[in-house]
Amino acid sequence: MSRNAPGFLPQVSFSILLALSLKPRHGYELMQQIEEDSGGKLRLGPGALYGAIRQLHDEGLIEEIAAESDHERRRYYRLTQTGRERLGAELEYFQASVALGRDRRILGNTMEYARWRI
Amino acid sequence: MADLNGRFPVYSRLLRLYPVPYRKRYGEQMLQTLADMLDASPSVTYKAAVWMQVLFDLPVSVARQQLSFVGNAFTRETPTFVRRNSVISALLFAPFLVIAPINDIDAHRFYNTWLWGAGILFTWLVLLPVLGMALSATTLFFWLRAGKRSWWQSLLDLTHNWMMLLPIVLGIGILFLVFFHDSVHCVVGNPINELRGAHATLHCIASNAS
Repeated sequence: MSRNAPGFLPQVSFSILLALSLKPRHGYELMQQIEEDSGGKLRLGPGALYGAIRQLHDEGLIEEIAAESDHERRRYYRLTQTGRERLGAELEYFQASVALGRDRRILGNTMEYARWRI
Repeated sequence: MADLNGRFPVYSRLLRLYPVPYRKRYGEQMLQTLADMLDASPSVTYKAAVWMQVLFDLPVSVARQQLSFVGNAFTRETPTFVRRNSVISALLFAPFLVIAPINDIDAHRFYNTWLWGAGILFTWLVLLPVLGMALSATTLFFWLRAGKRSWWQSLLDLTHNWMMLLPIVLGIGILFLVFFHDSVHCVVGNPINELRGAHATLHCIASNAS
């Protein structure tokens, strides 16, 4: 299966795309948004963050834009059209997986499933 | 950048472990992000937690970035002569890596006819990688000299160029094997013993006797 198939995006990359779906952000803002989106479960260091940014940038899913502030060191990133489409495809894949999980009584019916097992 | 390098001298130096193109592109931003993280930390405990997170994140990230350059040994900044000589060095090593494991079984027979007969094959098998290593080392020397930078800095910059460093590392390994490892240099007829003198011969006699 192709690496570009939905569901194959690494978690950090997916989180970055999701964090950029609202507005362009710089590195630290991205970290904060990712932490907030994951309910504090995903905390990235600069190495992991910029490693994923590099990959996403090379794949054309995000792009660097001119800084909004006068702070020259900060670089802002935003989703490209391809990135937005890829994020949409990922979310649809997850949505379908969640629906499947519900149908199979894995999600949302945990107690019922536990009773059925007993 | 200069003030952030001064503010985080250790982290700034650690960033040199990354491949050069990566560091040039993101090093400054990583320093800025670290500064943002620390500035947003309300207490010393939080700052310590940030440092722990950053330092744990570093080795994994460095390894991933270095490995990502294995398949892409050359960058746009790599001069043409380095690209060409690296490929030649690698080609000089190739026959040794392919044939040496087979030849090793009867190595002593080849040593007995070191320069002529079947031994000529083994001689070239050792010489070709040595030539490859010499070519790598010379290329490296001229490349570093062209850069007009400190040796230490330049060598760190070369960490992403695996194709260049591999022949040198392998070459050192082969030289060690031929000159110092008993299993090869103590084989009867190996002329390396004559080069190393009576001491090596006595050592070999002793080790063969035991």
